[in-house]
Amino acid sequence: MTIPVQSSALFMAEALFERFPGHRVEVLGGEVSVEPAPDMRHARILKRVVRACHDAGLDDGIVEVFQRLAIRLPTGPDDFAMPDLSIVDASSDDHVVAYDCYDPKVFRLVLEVTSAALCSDLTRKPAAYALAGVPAYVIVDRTDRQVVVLTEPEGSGYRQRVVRRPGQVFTLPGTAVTLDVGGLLS
Amino acid sequence: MSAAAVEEPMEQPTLLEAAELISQQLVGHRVEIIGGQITVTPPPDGPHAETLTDLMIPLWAAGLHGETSRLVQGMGMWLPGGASDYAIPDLSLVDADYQDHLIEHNCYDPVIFRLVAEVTSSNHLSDVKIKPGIYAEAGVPVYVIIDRKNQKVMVLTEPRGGEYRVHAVHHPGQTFTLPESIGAGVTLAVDDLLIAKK
Repeated sequence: MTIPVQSSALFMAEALFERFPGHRVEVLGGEVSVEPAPDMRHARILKRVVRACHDAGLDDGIVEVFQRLAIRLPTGPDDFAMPDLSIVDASSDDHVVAYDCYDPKVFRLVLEVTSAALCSDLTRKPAAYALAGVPAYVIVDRTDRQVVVLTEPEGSGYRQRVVRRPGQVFTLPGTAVTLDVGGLLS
Repeated sequence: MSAAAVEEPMEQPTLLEAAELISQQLVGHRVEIIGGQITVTPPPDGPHAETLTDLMIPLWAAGLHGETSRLVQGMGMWLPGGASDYAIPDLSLVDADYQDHLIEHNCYDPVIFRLVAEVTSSNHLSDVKIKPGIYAEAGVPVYVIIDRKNQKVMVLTEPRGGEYRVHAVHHPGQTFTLPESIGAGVTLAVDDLLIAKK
């Protein structure tokens, strides 16, 4: 890995992505963030969400479900994120704005499964996704064992914040997909 | 992907090893691990460094770089609550016996930090929104944010439950006094920290 000192955040991100395959590389607020590949528990939670989406026929019509599709963010000139899961307008293939990052306006929902306390899913991304105008942001918080559903983006925040804990269910906003929090986190 | 990357062994480095590799390659960049994620910040500009000096001078004049405490830039703070989390404040006032409190990866126990300061750059959001929670969680008594973007200086004190209970905001033309708990009474003028830079 050889990286010029005066490289842009985007260039750094690309070099880091090559050096650490499998890691999630993002640029948030002008800082490059590198996260190890998720563990099996993380992947299992995502698998359950994807399966519920497929069972509900979500992938067959006007939207598509993706994992780690890059979304361009307005929080900095190089900013982008790779949400664990996203629900996107179908046939949005042409909406690439830069470097394989897609226009935030085609995203209807993003979902993140946290890996640690204080991770960017909880700290930076609520503001970033709200500023990007993503209508719904769902956080599966493994540390606090709860699901946070954020809707109605306004400025750098979401106006609605609903917290669901084990024993409760939640619905992915804009869909008929309902999930049990306890089952998801088990 | 370059050919060189493919030829390297497939063994995954630990998070700390990865952070170390990045630090070696990206000279001048600040590499931290927060929330289990490596965060890389580009080198700051000249005025950023100058502002740090402007903040150091009155602290030094008050005798804080002496026998009981030391003024240091870029010293790593090992963070509680994460497997390998650490942060590197722009400027820290630490106990003089800090070398007895080395934990890992060139990072020190948060208990030795009396004050930390950040001068905002492109990573404005981090210093203003993320770091307060981190430094409060670590129990650092005083966090000073020199906010170049919004032309104000914030002094956060009384960390409790992962947040600072007191947020004092100081604007150009004003002066303020840092808590005596840092080891001396130091009065600073916002203009000395913000206006001189053009």
